[in-house]
Amino acid sequence: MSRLPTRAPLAALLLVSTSALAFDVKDQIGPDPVLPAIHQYLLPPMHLSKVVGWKAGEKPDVAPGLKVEAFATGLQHPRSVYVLPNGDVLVVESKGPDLQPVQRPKDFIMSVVEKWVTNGGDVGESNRITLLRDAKGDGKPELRRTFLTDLRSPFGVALIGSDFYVANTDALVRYPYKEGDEQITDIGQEVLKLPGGPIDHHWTKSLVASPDGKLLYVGVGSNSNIVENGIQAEENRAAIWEVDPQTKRWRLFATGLRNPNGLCFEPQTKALWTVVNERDELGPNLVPDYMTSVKDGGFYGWPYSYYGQHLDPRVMPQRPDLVARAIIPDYALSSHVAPLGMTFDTADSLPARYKGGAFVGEHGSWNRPEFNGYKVVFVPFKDGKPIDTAQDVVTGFLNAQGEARGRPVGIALDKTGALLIADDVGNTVWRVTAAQQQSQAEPKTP
Amino acid sequence: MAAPEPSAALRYWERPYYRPLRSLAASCVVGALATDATYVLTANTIWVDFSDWLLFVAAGLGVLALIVGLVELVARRRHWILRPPAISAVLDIVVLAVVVANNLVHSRDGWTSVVPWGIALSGLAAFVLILSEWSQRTTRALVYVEGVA
Repeated sequence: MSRLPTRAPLAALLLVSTSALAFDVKDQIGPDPVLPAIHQYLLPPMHLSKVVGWKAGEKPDVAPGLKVEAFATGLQHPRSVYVLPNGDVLVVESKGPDLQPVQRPKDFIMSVVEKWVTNGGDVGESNRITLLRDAKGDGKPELRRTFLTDLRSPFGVALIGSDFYVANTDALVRYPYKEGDEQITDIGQEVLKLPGGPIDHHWTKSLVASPDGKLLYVGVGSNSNIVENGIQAEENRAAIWEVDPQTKRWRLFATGLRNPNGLCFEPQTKALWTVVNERDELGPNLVPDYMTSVKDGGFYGWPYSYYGQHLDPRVMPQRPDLVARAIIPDYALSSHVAPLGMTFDTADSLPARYKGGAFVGEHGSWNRPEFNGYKVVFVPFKDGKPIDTAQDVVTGFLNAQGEARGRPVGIALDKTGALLIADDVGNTVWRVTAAQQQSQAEPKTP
Repeated sequence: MAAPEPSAALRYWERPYYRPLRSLAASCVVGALATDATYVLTANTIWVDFSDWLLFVAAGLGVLALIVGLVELVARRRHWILRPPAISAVLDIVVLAVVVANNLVHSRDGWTSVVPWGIALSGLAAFVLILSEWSQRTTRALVYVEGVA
């Protein structure tokens, strides 16, 4: 409230003169988002997109200079993609643990509405990892093998040397891997328990290895929207854990991050970055989801406050001591876009404008009147900091009727530098490459 | 025309159902005020869950009582003496409306599902309920004296 964004007067005028629907979401993209007044609902809007899937030949739209093809189809809820050193692509297929008990009538009603809208999504075995080998790098994998099965709602994976780590929703597990393996049959060894059931509200455990290969960072989401399940349920949650997998020593690296995903290291500064899903039910334009560098020991507000010292009145008792040191995140992505994946462009094969910046997979909103997200955006970086507004890279996950053909989640660069996108309701992995012909033709255009 | 002979053993479709349904719903309304107050004193979220369920059941039983009451109003025209006074029926409907609104307020997450509007509506519903009870004292006395029910 003390921090007045430069565009606030204009936004205030807009809010006064027109309805909240006229709010420009662009005002919430960047380092200094406009934060309107809190609006608590009598009826929380549930505006979910009906899942229709991709018809044969349909594919998302891409920004100029790019092209997109399906890399693999017929998957079971692919949530994240990971590229092994030899170029093999791992697709983590995962279903939520569905443990959340009905604690109050709202849980019951919301689950009925969600099931009604997202029908047809449950089509078979999931909770496994599929390996795709595209040795030629032409976007058409010659080999498809089930790499690892019997996982428990996995999300993040990471390879350190010959140790392959899987972040299940309730435990970090290590498996032996050697280059070229097409399958892991070892039962694995549990390194560390992670906060799972009995509620397990935000269940995805994002995972990344430090650049020196010594430590692992695990994103652990909160167990509620805004501690309505009690503060006891939030122990060691809404945080990024730092784990030494050899000694099993772990600590909370940063806290107050409601649902951190897409953990990765910025290539220039080697700082840890994350995208975070912020809290719901304070209005269609609160609270903006964000991406941020993560400081050791940093507290980022949840649940007590957002964007620094903006108090959340739903939390009692408050913690002024924590709020006083709450860090303002680096870059807002706008409200309810649900970012779940992020990766930096560290290769040279996509157009030069993307070099060094971050791609973000936005799963899409379900609780604001107008859809937001449902696309992959690009945020340019300079000297390790995001600059400029986000640009659309891959869109068209919603059709003209607002039905979901797909929803992007985790993203990664393959060994050729192409962008891979896990689409968990389209059950597809998309591959975005440069449209070479166009880049050659560009100088000829007047 | 002679009044129908009073019978001690009413068959099940002849029994009055509005009163017990209304009593159950009313208990939940008063209960929700108590659990809301406990939440305000303790800030322990389990008490909001209790309030949510009590209000949910109160609204469900309240709607059922309203429907049954309307049916009985028509079906028991001859037992007019059992009928609550109009003012009580109006107050009961006010309670039901407040309880439905309070369900929405309580569907919010955390402290602001109760403070200030949630507990205020719980208190208002309980208060109007007491007014409604008080407005029926004449009917009760009559029923007791006549021994109809």
